[in-house]
Order: sequence, then structure tokens, then C-alpha cells
Amino acid sequence: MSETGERPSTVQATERATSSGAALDGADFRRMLAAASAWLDRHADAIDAINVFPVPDGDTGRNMAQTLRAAWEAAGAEPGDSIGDVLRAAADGALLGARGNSGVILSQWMRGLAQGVEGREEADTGLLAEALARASTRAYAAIEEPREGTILSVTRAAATCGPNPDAFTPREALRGAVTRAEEAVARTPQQMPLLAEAGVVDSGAQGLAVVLAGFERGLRDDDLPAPAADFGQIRTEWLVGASPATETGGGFGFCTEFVLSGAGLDLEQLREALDALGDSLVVAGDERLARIHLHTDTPEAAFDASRRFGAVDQCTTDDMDARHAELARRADAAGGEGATVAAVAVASGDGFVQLFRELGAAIVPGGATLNPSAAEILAAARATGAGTVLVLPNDRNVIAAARQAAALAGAEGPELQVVPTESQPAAVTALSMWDRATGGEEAGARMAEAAESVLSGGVTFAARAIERPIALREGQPFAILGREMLAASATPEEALLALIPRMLERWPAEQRGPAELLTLYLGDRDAGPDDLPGDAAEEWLRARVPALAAADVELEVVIGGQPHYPFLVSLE
Amino acid sequence: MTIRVVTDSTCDLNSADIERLGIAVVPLNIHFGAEVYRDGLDIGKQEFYERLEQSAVLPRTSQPSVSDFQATYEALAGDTTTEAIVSVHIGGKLSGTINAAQTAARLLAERDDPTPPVHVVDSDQASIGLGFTAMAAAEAVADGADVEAVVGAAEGTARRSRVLLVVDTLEYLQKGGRIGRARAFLGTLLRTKPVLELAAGEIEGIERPRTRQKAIERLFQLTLRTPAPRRIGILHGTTPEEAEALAARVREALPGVPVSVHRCSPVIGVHTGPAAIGAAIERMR
Repeated sequence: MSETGERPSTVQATERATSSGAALDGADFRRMLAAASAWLDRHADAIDAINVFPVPDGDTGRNMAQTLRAAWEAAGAEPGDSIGDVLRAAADGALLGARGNSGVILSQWMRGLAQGVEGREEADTGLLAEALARASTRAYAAIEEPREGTILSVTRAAATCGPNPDAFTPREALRGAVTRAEEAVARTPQQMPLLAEAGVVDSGAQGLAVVLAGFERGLRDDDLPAPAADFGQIRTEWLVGASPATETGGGFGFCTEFVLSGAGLDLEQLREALDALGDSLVVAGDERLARIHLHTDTPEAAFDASRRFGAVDQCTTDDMDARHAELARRADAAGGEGATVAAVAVASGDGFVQLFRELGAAIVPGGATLNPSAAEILAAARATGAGTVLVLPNDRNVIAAARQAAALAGAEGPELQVVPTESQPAAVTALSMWDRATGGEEAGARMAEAAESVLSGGVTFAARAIERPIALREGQPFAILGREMLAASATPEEALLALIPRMLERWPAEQRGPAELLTLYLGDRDAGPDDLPGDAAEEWLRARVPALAAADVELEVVIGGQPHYPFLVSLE
Repeated sequence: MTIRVVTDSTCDLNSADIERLGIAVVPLNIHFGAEVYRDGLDIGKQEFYERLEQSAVLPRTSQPSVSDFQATYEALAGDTTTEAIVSVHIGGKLSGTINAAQTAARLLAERDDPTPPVHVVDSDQASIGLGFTAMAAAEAVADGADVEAVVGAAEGTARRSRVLLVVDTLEYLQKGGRIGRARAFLGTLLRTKPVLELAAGEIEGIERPRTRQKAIERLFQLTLRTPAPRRIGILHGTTPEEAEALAARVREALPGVPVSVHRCSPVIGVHTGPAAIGAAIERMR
């Protein structure tokens, strides 16, 4: 533009320090935070859906998103425009706003970033790299027993990108960090068997990768919508860590990393030499020391080629083909190419959420009084990344929405198989009969059959006074068996003691053989001294229900944590 | 000149088969507290299961010593008609038995006097999966195969065999440290009758039915669904009637496929618990 030359030099400096320039200032970082906050908001639900580690207790995505939003708001309120000031304010905001373990780690990571740029007007690529390293150290220090395969591994991967300040703009360096972070996320199931078992990547790890990707988006030239605005469809391929369907076929070879040292290393020529040997090449460093990352079939050739430039050291190779073969083997076991099967269960109560996750299902929050929408069910199904998704509605009022979701999925998929479970206990039994090696249709049919073989009952409170079929005052406890209202009682315990013998009588032994197992799910309530004791429920029940011993039925007591029903009971 | 087949007591073969095929069996050991019993020699199956159910302490198992293997190999080597020894054993991921066998084989080879070569084969199997492997080796010997073909027969059978197992509780596998990849199967629900598979030498969970009836039904279905079965062995610990009933159903569904019933050896029983029931299937291809 012709005006450029007439601008004062200070304005020129500010212009240079934007996305295309060599350094970031506070204003840039505000944009990065805004974008990352919006990006994380968009992904929060999907991240929550894979929240399986270390204990299924919170919502990683939401927690991280709220933490980052607090950082963004604090950065906006900061009057200064230096990167040091803005990041310090953001870190303070994050520390105050941190929610959940992942949010706390995120806030500590931001604190490390802020310390890395403390007192600086702007950050060039070198300083950004140092800050990322410092942030990682800080995140590790925040955890008493740091473990790999978590958000921590991603902080480290992002920091190992150690860019060459002369070669990269901050944005290019961030793009490298995002790539490394995403690779680290993809490795988490290999590092944490629990994740591999659940077929997901670590949620906190994914959350941080989304934050880094958001930072990078903030440096793009496009107009940035405010947080929570639409960024377009989110990607969900990464949600299923063990899914090979999203991997491109063949030619991975070895993930090869090494350090090259020497005098006057010509990194440009090194790049050219290595580029011919593989892909995903990252060369980071300077003319004395460089770190190289390359996917190649011939690591030795890469080492040899590099030795022409300097001394090769710290070589590591990871056989990605072997990993790929293992993933492909698992996919075959799951019913053929791209035919992964996942399950989604509508759950209410911490105990049930945990049970369903242990049994391999993703969760749609909701239940009797909080019916999830078809869109929510479909979103959860899509978030699994599987080709076929078994949906367990777990309430009569949700089955229709689940079927609607199946119809809405349409050509885009996935294929939804609704297993019409009417209760959470029936869903536990259904999921317990899920053999991952079977295809979706067969698995769905077998689960439906298993759910039907269960006799389900419960104890709840009358929502209003009624006369028929039994007389109930509002709020009065009563038992329900299937759809039949049974016993109006003075206490939930009394209703339970009436319910269990009726269930044993009702069991169709001629068709199904003797009943073997009665499971009692304790609801979310504060039990008084005269109530059924949660820690000694089995003895309590056996002493009061002689029919249990007479029928030779095993008894299992589980904390379901479900609202509204002090007791849910299944007999099978 | 002949080739001798050696296996270990986890093979769960019936004594009639062992005698008919001339297989030498090296026992593992069972420890009830300070008392040590050689599997199948010092303690019978009936006595063992009675003690397992009554004993307050869970028994431990230990692999045969190198000298146990040396004694067996040397006895066979002392027979001048022994051309070679093929020694097939429980998978190295489940037991250190294979290491003891390999060490003994090496020590024998290092002797100054000429000794027949010992080929040690890690079956990656246990129970009847190993039993079928040993049988295949012995059958190849009877067919006049050379030592490479005998080893090949054993390795092929080991690879084509699967062992499915329903345990009444994961407690025994867990306490014995043999739970392997099925570890993640241990969740909140305690009353499950997990269906497990010994795959590639490790125990993996397939499904966790909540009742024994459902679990045995699944075992039956998975058995029938295994393609091209050559032979099937039903194994059990303390439930012979249940095992015979399952075998009868399998025979009816798969006429022409030999179905045998085996009682798990104590060493297997220590890890699966008394009421385990399972099926081993060798595929034709």
C-alpha cells in the first residue's frame, strides 16, 4: 500500500509483530487466546465424551474450556499490551478459574508460558519455544506422580519442537507444535492400556492439542469470530485412539528421531536430503545443534545421510508399521475394515456413568427427568468415530429420541443400532454381553436379547397423589416392577423388601432356568441410621429376605448414584 | 531311531493319551504354604481341588527346575534309539517353564559326549491348547516325520489352537498374576463370569456375562463359531457334569469332530479357580 511508507515507525513495528511477522506481542496473544477459547468450547463436549482417565469423574473438556475462558477474560481486562503483561494476566485468570485436574494442569502450563515471557514486550520464535519448554516443566511439576500418556506428554511434545528462530515464524513454529502435540495424543492409547481398552485417546491430552491448535488459528489472517461462535464442523476422527480407519494405509515405516551436532550445519540442505527419504519431516535447531524427526522406511539411510552434515546422536526409531499392523489386527477383530463398533449409553448417576464407561460405552448425560435430545445422542454417537454405534437409551422416554437420532444420521452416518433398553440396570446386563469381535448388528441383537432377559424393578417416590392402581400420597415411596406399580410403603426400604420377593416369584424359571443374580443399585440419597446401610447392604438384605437364600441367588450391591430412585433392582 | 516328545503338566492331557502317544511329562510344582507337590505325581486332581476350595491360603505354582528337565532329557538321551527330543511347553508369557527347558537343553548340548539335539518349542498356549500341540508332535513322530516336520507340526497346531475359558471369578487369575490384558476387565461389577481367551500367549477378555448360564452359552457359541475345527477339548475343574453336558451339545452340533473332556491340572486350576470351564479348539487351517 502506498500509505505504508508514511506511517510512523512504531506502527510499522506493531504491524510486523502480527501473524506474518517475526514476533508476537500482547495483542497477538489476546487473539490467540480468543481463538483457542472458542476452539476449545467447540470441542469440549467431544472431549468430555472420551473422559475415561484416571477415574471417570469429571468433564475434562468443559473444565478446560472454562479454565481457558477465564484466562481469555483476564487477558482482555489487562491494560498493558506487552506479551509479558497479557500472558501474566491470562495465567492469573487461568489459575483462579481452573476447574478439574485438567484445568489445573492447563493453568499451570499457562503459568509456565507466562514465566517464559516475563517482562518482555514481544516474543520471537526462540522465546516462544523456551516458554513452551518452561510451560511443560511447570505442568509436570504440578502433578505428584506424573504419568506419560496424559496431557503432560502433550506439553512435552509441543515443547520439543524447538524451532530454529531464523527459519520459522512464531506461527510456523506453533504449527509444528500442533503436529507434535497431535502425534503425542495419538500415542496415548499405547501408553495407557486403559485408554486402549476403551478405544479412545486421553481427553486432557486432546484438550491441550485443541488449545495449541486454537492458538495457531488465532494467528491466521482470517477474521476471527468471538468465542463460542461457529468455527465450522469439528473434527472427531481423533476421538477413537485405536481406530485404524482414520489412518492412511501403509508406508509409515519408522518414526525416527535423532540429534545432529556440528559446526555450520546447513539445515536447508539437510532438509532436502531427508525429505527424499520419508515424510512428516521436522528439522529444528540451529547451525550447531538440530533435532530431526522423520517418518521413514529406512532410518539407517536417514542417519547415514545426516552424518555427511555432522555427528548423529540420540537416535530413536519407533516401528510404526508394527503398530499399524496391530491396529489393523484389532480392526479385523472388530469386524473388518473401518467397521469399528462403539456404544453410547444414556446415563444418570455417577455410579452408572462409571459402570457404562467400564463396559466400554460413551455417555450421553440424561435419564428419566433429563431426556437427551436426538441431536445430543447423534453427536455422542458421531464423537465415537465408529462406523456403527449401539445406542442404549435406558429409559422408555428416550427410546424414541434414540430412533430419531438413528434416522437423522442418514448417509453421513454412523449407523445407529438402538438397543431398546428401558432401564439402566438392563443396560448393564446388555453391555456385559458385548463381544467387541462381533459386528454391530449381531452385537445389538445379542444385547437386546440380554436386556430382555432381565427383570427390572425399583423404588421411587410418587410425583403426585393417585388412587389407582394403588393409592399413593405425593412423595410416598412405592415399588415398581417392570411397568407395574406394586407396593405403597412408609419407607423406601419397606418398598424394597416388598419388591424383591415379588421379583423372585415373578422370575420365569421354566423358560430361563433358575435366577442366578440379583443386583441392587443404590441411588443418590443420604441414608439415615435406620436405612439400608450402603457398606453392609448385602448382610442387611440377606437377613431380611429369606427368599434370597432359598432361591440360591447371588447378590451384588452397586452404587448407582441415580437420582429419584433410592433403589434399582435387576434379577437375571 | 525315534524322536521323543516332552511336554509339561499344564498340558491337561488324559493319562491314556499320554501313554498311548509315549509323551514324557515334566511336572510343575504346587505349593500349599511350605508344602510342595509335583503336579500329577504327588497330588491328584481330586485331592487338589478339595484342598483348593478349603485352603485359606491360595496355593502358588512354580515352574520345573532346570535339573527336572535335565533329568528327563538325560533319561531319554540315555536310550540309544533317541534321535532327537522335541520339548513343547506352556507359553513363556504365562510361565517360566520354557526358560528352564531351554537352559537344560543348552546344558545337554554342551556335554562332551554326543547327545541327541533338543528342540524347545514355546507353544504360547496352556491347558489343552498345549495338549493338542504335544499330541500333534507325537502324532507326527508316529507318522514317521523327521524332526523338522515334528517341530513344524507342533508349531502349526499351537498357532491354530485357541483356548476359551469361563472363570467363576477373576480372583484366582488376579492373585496368580496371570490376568494379562484382561486386567482392564476388572471393574466395579464383582459378580461376573468373564469369558476369556488365551490369545498369542496372553489372557484377553472377550465378554463379561453376569451369570454362569449366559457365560456357558457364549462359550458354546464361540466354540461352534470357530471355523474348521479339527478337534475340541472341553476342560473343567470341579464341574464334570457341566463339562460333559457341554461336550454332548458340541458333539451334536459338530458331528464328526472329536470332542474330549479334560480336567484342568492343578497348576491351571490354581490360576483359573475351581469352577472354571473352557474349550480348546484346534482349527484345521
